[in-house]
Amino acid sequence: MEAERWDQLAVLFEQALALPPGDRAAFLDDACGSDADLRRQLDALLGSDAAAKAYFDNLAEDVFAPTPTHAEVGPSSVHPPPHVGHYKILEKLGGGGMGIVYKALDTKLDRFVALKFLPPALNANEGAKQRFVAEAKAASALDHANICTIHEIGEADDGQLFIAMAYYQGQTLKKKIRQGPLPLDEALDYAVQMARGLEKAHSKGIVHRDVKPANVMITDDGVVKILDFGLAKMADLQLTQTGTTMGTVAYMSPEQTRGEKVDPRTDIWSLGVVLYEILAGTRPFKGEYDQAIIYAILHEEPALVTVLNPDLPPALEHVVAMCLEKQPDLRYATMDDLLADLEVFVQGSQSNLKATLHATRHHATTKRRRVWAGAASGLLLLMALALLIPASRRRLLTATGLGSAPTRTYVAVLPFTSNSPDNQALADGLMHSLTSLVARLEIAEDSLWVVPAGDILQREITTAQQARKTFGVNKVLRGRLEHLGTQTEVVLELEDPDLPRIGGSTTLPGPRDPAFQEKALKALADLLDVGVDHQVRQATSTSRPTTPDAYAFYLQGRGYLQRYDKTGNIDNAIVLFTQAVEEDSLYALALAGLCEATWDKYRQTTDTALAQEALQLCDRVAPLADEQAPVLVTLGSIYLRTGQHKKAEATLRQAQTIEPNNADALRWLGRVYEDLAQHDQAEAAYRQAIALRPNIWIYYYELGLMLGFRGHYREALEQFEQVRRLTPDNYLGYTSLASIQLLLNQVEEARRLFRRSIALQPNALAYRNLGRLYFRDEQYPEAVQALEQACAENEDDLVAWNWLGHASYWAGNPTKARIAWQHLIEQAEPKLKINPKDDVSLYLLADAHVVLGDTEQGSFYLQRLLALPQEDLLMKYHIGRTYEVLGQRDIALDWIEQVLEEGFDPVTPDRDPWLEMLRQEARYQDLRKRFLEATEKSAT
Amino acid sequence: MSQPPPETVTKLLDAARRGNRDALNKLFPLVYGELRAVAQRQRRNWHGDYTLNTTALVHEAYLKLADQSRADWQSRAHFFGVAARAMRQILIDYARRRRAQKRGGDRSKTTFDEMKLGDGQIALSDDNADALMVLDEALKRLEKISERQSRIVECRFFGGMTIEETAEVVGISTATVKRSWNLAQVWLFQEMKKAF
Repeated sequence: MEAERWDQLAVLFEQALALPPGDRAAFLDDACGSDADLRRQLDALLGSDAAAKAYFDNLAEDVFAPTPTHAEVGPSSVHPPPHVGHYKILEKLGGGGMGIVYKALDTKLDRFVALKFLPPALNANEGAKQRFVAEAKAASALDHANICTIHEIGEADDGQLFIAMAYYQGQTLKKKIRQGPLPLDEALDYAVQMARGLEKAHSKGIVHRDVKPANVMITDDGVVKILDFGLAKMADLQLTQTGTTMGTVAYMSPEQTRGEKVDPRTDIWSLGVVLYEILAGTRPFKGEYDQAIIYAILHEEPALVTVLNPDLPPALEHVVAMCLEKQPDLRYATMDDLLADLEVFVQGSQSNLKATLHATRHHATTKRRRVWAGAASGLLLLMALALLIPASRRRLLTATGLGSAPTRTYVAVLPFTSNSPDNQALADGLMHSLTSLVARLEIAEDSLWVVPAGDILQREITTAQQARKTFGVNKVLRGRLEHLGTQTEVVLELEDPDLPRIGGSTTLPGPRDPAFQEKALKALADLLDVGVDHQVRQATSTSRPTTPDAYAFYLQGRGYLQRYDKTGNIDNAIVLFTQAVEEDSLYALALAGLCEATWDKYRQTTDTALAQEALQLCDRVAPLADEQAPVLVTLGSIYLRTGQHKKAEATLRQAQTIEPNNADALRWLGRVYEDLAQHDQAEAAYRQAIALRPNIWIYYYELGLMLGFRGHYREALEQFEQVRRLTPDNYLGYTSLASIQLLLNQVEEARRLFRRSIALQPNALAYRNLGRLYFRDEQYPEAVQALEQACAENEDDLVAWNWLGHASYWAGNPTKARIAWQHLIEQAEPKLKINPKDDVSLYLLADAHVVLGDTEQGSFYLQRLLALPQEDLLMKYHIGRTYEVLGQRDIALDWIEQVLEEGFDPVTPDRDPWLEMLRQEARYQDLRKRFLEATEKSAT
Repeated sequence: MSQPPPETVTKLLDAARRGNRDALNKLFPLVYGELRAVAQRQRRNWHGDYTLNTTALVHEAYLKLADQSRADWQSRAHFFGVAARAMRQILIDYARRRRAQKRGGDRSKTTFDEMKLGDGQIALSDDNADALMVLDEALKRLEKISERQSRIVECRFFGGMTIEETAEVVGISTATVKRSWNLAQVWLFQEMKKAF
């Protein structure tokens, strides 16, 4: 095998691994083509991915965090004497954090025993020694088939403490799982036995504190023996004394890593980690070093075990999840509870589940906090899930299709109608406001989701069937504004898209009623059959303005802003929000609306004075917005777009604290982290938003963009496929899919998708990329044509203007090019004043100045750009190209090499007319060989 | 092991940075010796368990050997690369001796004379010693396919380095390191399975 072949293998391997196992075959068919040898290798490698990782993790841990050597056994001697009391030492069995173990012969009773000598640090401290003996004595009183029997606690002649325990023929669980996950039956069997042993200890008030595979012995008869009870407590002592770690932290509970007091529930956590590992073949919390693992334990949600091992019964996920709750209160309350659930699986996996279910149902009334794992359906299960799985987890389960879907209400609030056409803005505003109220109910009610009002309007949804088809909702709320003379009423109706009749209706007073919001909240809760949390009620009252008129103005402002794309609506919104604020100068929602509308106006006009005004408004609202998450989200998003990342992060985090389920807060937080190059956090935020609202395309879109920028094209494609799936008539889905296909060198597919996108709706983004595609293929006149359309579609698309410059230049029209670049410079400079960290504008200014011959200005912007983190591969490539135009070829080559290393399309530099001279360099030729010829080879 | 003057190491690192392979070869025995010395010192200092913390070892050896006033990140990267290779050598030497001893057949001696082996810093079980030997063989085969690849394994496994550190040492992007390391583990695992 050649080195290039290896690299090719590595790329395909990575891409295949990123796909769900079911999709891999198709991908490999496509990627390997007729190269059967390559295909065979990949198939073989993909089969043992998890086992290999587990193997090396374990080996590294064994070799690099190994047993103590004999020198540590006794302070005075290099190795123990051949005899200790009536024990004759035979051989070393191994050792761990708590000392070294020998096989010995008990000469009195003529049986084999295991002798464990304790660390010398313990011997030095008399108090510790006594405590240790007391603890070990307590543990030795435990008599259970799954607990290692302790015969004696003794002291050798030199004062060295030892424990004599039963000797078992077998191997540790740690060794058993070296080669990957265990079969389900076997794994459950061990887990049940461990739980039984631990349950016994807990009933005697003893907590193990160090449950891990290395402490679990499996005898040759398949009996579990738990070792080292209570010893970990001593290890803590040692830890503080010597500053050395005692081995792996991977099994520690969150409270343990924080050094807090622990109780039996710490063992439940650790058993959960072990269960996860033996089922999935990998540990739930991983990291390069201890601190990273601890971080994961404290803050991260592990990958779903049923995803890692799709053969597992889905309900087992709940059991693992209940063990791995970060808060002890949310875990199984007792080992006995966990045991009962595990046993359901054991019986279930053996024979008939129904009978078991019956038995469990009998249990149900007496046991609190129980998951009826194994039960696939039924009211009981639904109740149990709703009751027992904490909110965040439940979201995760349902989002991935693992939970039971019918428990949730997914509701769309349709546009309100009005019998007076003058009141359309009020009707739209009411729709927005009531959607917000449902969203507020959602905070306390995990089973309830609502589609954002903006999405309904944007997609022009007007019927229940459309809403169900587009967003998968199972409830639809309609509203009607009825004017009867001077009186106004709001009629609400709940509809089930699958049923012909109305599910319920209610009539509210008009929005000028002083208590309208409270009444509406109550009415909505009744219609949707959910409770109103005290906190929610409070939040609603807090956000209420002092006068009913202010609310009516606000509603209309909102209504106009909802349809901001209609001429004049932004101005109308500004007028109405201003009126609302005049009524009540401390009305946070109206101020936030004004702020948003002003910002939108700035975007429309690019008048920087408006941006400044919006920012001032932000600072004015901030102190009023304490408890109002939607207001905070608006502020955060504006701070972000003006480059104030710290402020944005703080504001959005505050919003998230108030409403942990606010997906928009997460979305904008993701953007903040992305800008700060904290990719893991950004990705986590987007994924969390997706988990919260799996039916909303925007979160997939954001995640896809981020992955695409970073060169993870296959993963990005997956996200954009979701966008297309959720919103098949959304041109952004096609445009983004096409952009990625282009980067993956699937030119024809990209072209097709761009055209599809334009057919749905002519848009600058697709035209611009189509232009880029022509440019790449050296069809400059066609490129100019497409780019002119892009600029016409969106005059503000400065990237398109830049491309228009480049395409015109190479099409032989330098005058036109100059005009395009100058236009760009005029437009981009003011943008930079609003957001000094706007990397796109910085790049465009650098490039335009350089190609126009102003190298000094060009370098100035380039330096400012380089002070920001660079992630977007395309941007990095273009930076390289700008350096070439600047005459700094070595630096240009550095950038190009870097992007190629990171997976950038090798055809683009090979055809870029600006790089013609650079391509003569030997260094480029090497790169070409490494990247372009390799892909060409794989393509044939 | 007498300690080399810092100038020597610094000079060699400078030369290595300019692409002198010979300098790397000369560096190797110095680093190897120092790592062993550090390992032994650490063992003496600790009362409790002995942990072969590779990262700590390598850092300490580096602080000791290199002239800090002149050290830059490139020479540091070179040093770490050499150190990872030295760790591999130290472990394999030890595993080999342990195996040879075992073949000698004196069981009790194997058990109790561990201290004399390889200066006694490393406690390897027989299984792990075997595993390391087989890994070393597989790694040699990998080296023939791609030298870069085997260096990545050295850094990651034997040097205990992070993805970022490895990228710095090998001089490639973190994405490539990650990708190569993933593939290498599976590839090596399959090679090793053949041997067991």
